Amino acid sequence: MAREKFKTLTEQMFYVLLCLKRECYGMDILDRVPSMTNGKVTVGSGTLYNLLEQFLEMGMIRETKVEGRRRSYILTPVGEDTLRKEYERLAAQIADYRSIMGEEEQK
Amino acid sequence: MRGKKKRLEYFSFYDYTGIARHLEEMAGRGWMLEKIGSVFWQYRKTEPKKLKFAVYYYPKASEFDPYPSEAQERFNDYCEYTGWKLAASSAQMQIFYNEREDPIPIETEPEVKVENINNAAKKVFLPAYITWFVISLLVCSMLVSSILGDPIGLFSNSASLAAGVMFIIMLLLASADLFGYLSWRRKARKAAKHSEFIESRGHRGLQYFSVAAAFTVLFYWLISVVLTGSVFMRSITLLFLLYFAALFVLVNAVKQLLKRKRAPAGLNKTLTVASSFVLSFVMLSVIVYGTVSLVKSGALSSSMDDYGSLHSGFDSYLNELPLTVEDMLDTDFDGYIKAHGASESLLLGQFHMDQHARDGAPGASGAPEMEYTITLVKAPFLYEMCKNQLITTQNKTYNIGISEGEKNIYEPCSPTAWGAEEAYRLISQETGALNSYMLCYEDRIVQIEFSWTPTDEQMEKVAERLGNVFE
Repeated sequence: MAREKFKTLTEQMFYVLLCLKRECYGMDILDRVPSMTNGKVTVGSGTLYNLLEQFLEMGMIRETKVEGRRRSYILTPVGEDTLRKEYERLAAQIADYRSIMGEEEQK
Repeated sequence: MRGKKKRLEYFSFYDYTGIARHLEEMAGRGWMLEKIGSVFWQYRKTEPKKLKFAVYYYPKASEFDPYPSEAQERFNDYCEYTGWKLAASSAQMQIFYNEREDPIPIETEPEVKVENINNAAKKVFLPAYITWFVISLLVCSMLVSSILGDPIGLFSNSASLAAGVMFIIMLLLASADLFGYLSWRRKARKAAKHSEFIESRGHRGLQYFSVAAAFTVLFYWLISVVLTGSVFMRSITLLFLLYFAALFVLVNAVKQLLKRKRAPAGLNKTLTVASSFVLSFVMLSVIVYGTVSLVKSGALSSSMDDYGSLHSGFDSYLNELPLTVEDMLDTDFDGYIKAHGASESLLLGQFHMDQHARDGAPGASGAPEMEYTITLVKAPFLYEMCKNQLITTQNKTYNIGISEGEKNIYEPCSPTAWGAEEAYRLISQETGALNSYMLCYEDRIVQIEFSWTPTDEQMEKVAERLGNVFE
């Protein structure tokens, strides 16, 4: 299942959405994600194509420009909200980690 | 076609690992995939190369698409940007290759990959295979019921037997692919939860075995028709083979022509389906009309025997009836209708002869009459099955709804005078012994009925004429 339709995000979903905070051509995302993550995360062309289709369908991104076959996209408020929720989820995890491991380390 | 070759490739729809691995091996041997046709995959000769192949399933694509949609082209652009070039495609299946040593895979997210393949499968593969599975399961259950209830009818008809075996093969293939796919999907989804990909596993061994078995069955059927069929049967078989081949070629030609003319996919699909109905109706009509005309004109005269009865295989063994009333006793009556029919395969044959007085013929009343059926068991393992069927049919099936005390049943009698290994006589529970017998010889069972009580001499003649009729 496409993880309950983006209730939580995988790394690749997260970074694709993050790229689209600024308007961006689909193809450029293939370069932006690795450069944004120092090569730790890469997105395959098929995966990117699929994610963009699904994000569009869910209203998380919208098309801004169509130049022949090239299309550019940008995050919508729905997408921003999804991204923010994922950030909060990860931040809560980090906070939990710190509260437990931090205490341990202090001891 | 120098530098090109075509191969019959058989892969499960979802076997992306098997397909990619096979194409990498072919490229390593200098054969590059360039086209996927309706039956064969076409390769062109190149320098042996170490290439990476990947199969991607594009759910919105259809075999009726005149050209890739703009969205599909955009997807291809993404792939090309990462070094993946389209080698060939067939409907939803897109096959890419990459010359880079360690390319970024086309699919890097297991969850997205599984759901994408499942979306593609739901459109064509699953409905087609579920239909295929249900139909072949129904036909196979009918086949089992035939084996249990009417083995003679099944094994003496090579077309029924060949069709039955074909459906068993189809059931095997449909089950392997359908359940194989569902099992792959379950495992792939489970692995995807841990961000892992799994490889697909096809059934190439079973698939190639099935293709070989299907050709063997087809060959058996053709040999059966050639060796045991009449001219009529051979002509009909040839016509139907040509009919199926022509239908496949013509319907495919309609689809390809509409694609070349850039007809929209929906229109192409509608016209192709409609053309398959119209063409099959027209061609069948021509075959039926042509056959009837040929039979009427006498060009297919061997389909009608001298007695006016349609038969199919007696001629291959017999030029004339092996035993007639006139052979058994002296009679001046000449108003007989003699009819015979046959059904025969390489395993079993059943031949029937019936000699009755024509209604209204002078002296018809009281004229001696006789009929017999010879079940020739060429495959010895079928003998007991056939004997049991003949006894059961008489003793049970024919007596359904008849009260005890009014039934006609076979009871063992002395086989000596008949020169048989076993003999049975039909006994009426009401009136006593009837002049109807079942005689078991080494490789055949004769059921014979007289309108008089045969003498020992006549029984000997039956043994001589019918017991050795095929030797």
